[in-house]
Amino acid sequence: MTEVSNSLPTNNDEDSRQVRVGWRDYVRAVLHDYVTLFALAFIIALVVFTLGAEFLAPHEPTGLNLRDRLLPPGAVGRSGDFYLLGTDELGRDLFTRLIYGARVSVSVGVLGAALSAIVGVTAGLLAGYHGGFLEDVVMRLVDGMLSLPSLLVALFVLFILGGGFGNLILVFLVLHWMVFARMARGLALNAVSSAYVQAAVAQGCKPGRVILRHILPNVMAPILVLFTLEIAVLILSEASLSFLGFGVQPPDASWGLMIAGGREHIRSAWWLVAFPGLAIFFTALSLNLIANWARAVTDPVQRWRWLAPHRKSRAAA
Amino acid sequence: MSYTLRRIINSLVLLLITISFVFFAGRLIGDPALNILGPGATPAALEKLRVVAGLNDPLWQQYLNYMAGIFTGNFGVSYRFGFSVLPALDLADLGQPVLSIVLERLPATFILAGSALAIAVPLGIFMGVTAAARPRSVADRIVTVLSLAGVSVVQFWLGLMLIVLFAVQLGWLPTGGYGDIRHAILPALTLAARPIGRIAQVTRSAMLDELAKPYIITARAKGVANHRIIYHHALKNAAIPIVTMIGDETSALLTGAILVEKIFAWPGVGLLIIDSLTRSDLPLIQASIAVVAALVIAVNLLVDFSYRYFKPEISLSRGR
Amino acid sequence: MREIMLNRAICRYAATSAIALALSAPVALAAPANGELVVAVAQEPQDLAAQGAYKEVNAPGLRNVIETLIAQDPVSGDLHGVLATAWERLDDRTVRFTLRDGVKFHDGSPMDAAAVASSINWVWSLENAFTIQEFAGSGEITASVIDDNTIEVRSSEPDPLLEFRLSLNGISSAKQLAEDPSSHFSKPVGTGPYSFGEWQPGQYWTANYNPEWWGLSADDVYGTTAPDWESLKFVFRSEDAARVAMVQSGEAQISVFPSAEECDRAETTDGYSCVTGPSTTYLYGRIDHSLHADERLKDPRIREAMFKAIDVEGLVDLVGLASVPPGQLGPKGTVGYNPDVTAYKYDPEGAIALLAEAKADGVDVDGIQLEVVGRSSTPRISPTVETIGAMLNAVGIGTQIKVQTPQEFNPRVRIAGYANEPGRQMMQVHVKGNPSNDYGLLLLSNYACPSIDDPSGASRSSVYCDPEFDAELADALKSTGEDRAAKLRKLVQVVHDRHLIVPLALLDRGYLLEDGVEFTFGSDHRFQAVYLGAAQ
Repeated sequence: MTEVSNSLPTNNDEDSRQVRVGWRDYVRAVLHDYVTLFALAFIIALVVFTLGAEFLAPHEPTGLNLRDRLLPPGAVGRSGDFYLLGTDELGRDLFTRLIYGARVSVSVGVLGAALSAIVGVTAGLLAGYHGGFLEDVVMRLVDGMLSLPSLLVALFVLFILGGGFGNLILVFLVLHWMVFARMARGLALNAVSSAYVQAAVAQGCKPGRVILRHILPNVMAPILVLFTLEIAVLILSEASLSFLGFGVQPPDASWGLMIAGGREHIRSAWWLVAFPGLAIFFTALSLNLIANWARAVTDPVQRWRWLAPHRKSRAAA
Repeated sequence: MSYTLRRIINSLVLLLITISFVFFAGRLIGDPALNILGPGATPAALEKLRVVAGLNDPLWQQYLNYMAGIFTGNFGVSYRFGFSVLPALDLADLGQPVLSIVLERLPATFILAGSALAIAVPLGIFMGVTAAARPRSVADRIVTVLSLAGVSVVQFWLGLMLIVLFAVQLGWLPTGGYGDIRHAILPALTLAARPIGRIAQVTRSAMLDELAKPYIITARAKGVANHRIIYHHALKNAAIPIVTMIGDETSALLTGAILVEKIFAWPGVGLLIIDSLTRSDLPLIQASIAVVAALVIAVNLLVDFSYRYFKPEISLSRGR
Repeated sequence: MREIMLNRAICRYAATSAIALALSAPVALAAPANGELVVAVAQEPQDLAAQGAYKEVNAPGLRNVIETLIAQDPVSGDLHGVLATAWERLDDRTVRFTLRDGVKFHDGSPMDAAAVASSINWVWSLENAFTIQEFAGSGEITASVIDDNTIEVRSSEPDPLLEFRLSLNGISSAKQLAEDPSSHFSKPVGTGPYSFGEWQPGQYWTANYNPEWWGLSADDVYGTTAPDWESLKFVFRSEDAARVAMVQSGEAQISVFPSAEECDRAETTDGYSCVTGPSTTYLYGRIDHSLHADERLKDPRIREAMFKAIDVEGLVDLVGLASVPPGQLGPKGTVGYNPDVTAYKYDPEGAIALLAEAKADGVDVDGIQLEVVGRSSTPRISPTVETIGAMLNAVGIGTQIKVQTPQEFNPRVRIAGYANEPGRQMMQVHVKGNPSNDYGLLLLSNYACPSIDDPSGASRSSVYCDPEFDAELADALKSTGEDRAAKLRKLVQVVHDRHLIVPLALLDRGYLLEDGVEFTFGSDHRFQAVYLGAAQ
């Protein structure tokens, strides 16, 4: 993808590639990009709250308080407790529940994506490196599974196996590894034909070593971008499946399940549905924005746009 | 063997594998006879059903019978109507053929998916073109965030929020159900959110590629009007990835409709699938998965062909 | 909470005044004055077969199309004739019915003795294994023709509830069964004030006014009331909020089962109101306690401690439309109801003391992990089981909270599933109806030694076994009158004291009604147009 505007700072693509970029450039770029900065801040806050829920959550996640049921956001309970986002039907603090719910939702997303990535990248790299029969089998499997209706298959498999955290991860692994495999194989094909891999092979390096030492590091960036996107996709899928009753089961409380449970009160206590939905939305949006930005800044041809000192670049038509 | 023929055969094999998988996996949830008659059934009634429905045959034979039936369009009968009296009567007399139940529901799903596309395609393309016309402008930023938002929103949640706002609070539109065009607006909008985002994204990047090409620069230099350059020349040539994305999203819409149909009580295949899953109506589940899978695989095949049609130079061997 | 209770009281009052209005409605023999009545119901029926007419939730509205020989009056609960004009007991297992003259099914075939007998035999055929058989209790029912207008119905066992069981039995066209049995399940043909119209799968089903309905010219059952609507439409809408909105926006005139909050809101909103009434449905918790249960749960002190730990009033508040039940599964008025048996007392200190006592005797109290399990289809089940878990934890009983799909849950309720899980420690939180006004069936299905081969299946959902109790129950089931009531009362006391099942809430059900619509219903909550009225 060569994106060229009217005001070219460099003469050609090769010049862009030569520009050396340090981590300071990335930091400076992100600090000037408010949207990405917001997304990054949101994700960091999410991770901090998720890991430190025990210390950071204002209330107990399971502390029933039937006297403070269904209080609206910002309410102060009878015992003087402040509820930032209101309370649910058992008088539990919604903000606290969201933080603990993040553990379930985020870990389904991250675990599912990580396992898919490991399996997919391994299969894809091996296929791309070795070619032949192995590649044929892997790619046929990938193409076949990619053309299946994945939500429907997930529903059916969970119907058979029963829902729950473990089965959900398993289903995500089975239905998402192909995305990574396809990308990894393409990247491996490019890498194999490159000079440095050819040189390594010529020096007699073993295939495993070539893949691990020479190919993998060079294909990491796009795979990480894809990984970020897949986390968002899986968090959304988890919400849908849990909403339909085939995903995470109570008392585990994922965001999707919280929406499903709050649905009954949607007219009298809108916050029970609105906030978990917003939590999913902002998480997925932030991950998408970060992936978008990461894709741009790791693209050697395009990245000058983002890393160059910020200025209004309104190209005259 | 020609590429087209091979792809078609591959797709058919994939479909058969899917159907077989669903058949065998369906047996994992336990005795089908018990499923049909419910836990209150007497042992005698269970046994009688097993005999009538051939459930005592070896599994491989049942499988062969099932697959043989499929080729004549017979996916079995639904547990729903009258299966509880099967032992008392002849199997052929009772139960509605599941295939006809599924086909009855297809038009509603097509209408919903079609309306969503009718919203998403023009809007998505317009957003993408607007963004690409001025890269890194405010408009571009807004389109980028909006299109990512469309991809990030939880569909069923958006549906619930739209119901609360437009049907409950404002009372402008019905809460759900099937009927005139007013019933289709909210579900179609809900379903369109994601494809709008995806189409806008792909349009933007395809247009950026296209607008950087020399012929555009030449046209600009010649003083051709900007909107003419964008809509007449660039968009036409950027059509391939956009069409591909629309195809991809069409197959996603067919399954995405499951949740939207549930929220809006829209009587399509998605709602049928949820109902049959909650009722453990295995023949109906099998048939609806087979039909939806067939549709999705067919759409994917068409996308593949159209891609080849537009770009015949795509190599069939390894992509080096 | 006090305010809410007060509102409910107003709701009930509204319902009773509606009854009075309905009974004093003016004579209306002309065609119905109103067009279509739209009722938003929670789910699509499995089918519209006559056998399903025993329970309203199976197929809401079906009783407008399919009628029974006799029925319970929604207000008094007494049995009255419908398609039968008279009936008499011949012996402890036989009842003779005299059929109404000149009634025709919607397909034109006559409702005579032959047709009714074959319809009854169809519903109770053991081979059909319809769900009504389990619902209404054991004993095979057969009907035989005496003459054109008389049939005899006989149960295989002495059965004081035979009349009640027949009040659940929908009578449908025998002609249809003979000529087109498959349509029996999707196109009901009965004798009611409305005839079946169409069923749009996933959307709704309709019924149209039947100008030839027998009730228009006979006023011995419903008085001179005539249906007020040209047609009925039952719309399937599973989203609670959507059902409420349908009444608010005028898309529907009635919507079923609003939450307590919605019901309260209706009182302050113009255009529609809420009526509620008690049902016979209980939410209860049942502890594994004999046969395959964990040894510790067989210790009565442990179970008593569990019961003392549960704050039933708090749970009732949480469930919403419900009232605090007595410590037994049947409502007041049930034959065998024991007025001395009151609700289990909430006594956390007592619970802790009991557990300490058991611990001192060497019982491994700390090792208990009681599985508190609900079925996902039960309303508000997740907060309910979570609350019960928290209450048990508060006295030091370890718990595991689970909500399971019907597919996982149902087998576990029954003996077959129980036997597969030796050493189980489970409290099932579930709902159960008791429409029969008699404790016999209730005790049988909950406390009798479970038998896999029980033809009716009734006892197969019991997890308790005490042969002595069974013998006394068998004796009580054969008795009638005050003798029966006394024996049942004693058994109710026995099971109460053993701490086996804790009733958690007696559920009310509510309806949102557009202004001008009046609805009378009994504890069986049936939608019958003859009990619905439109303000003139």
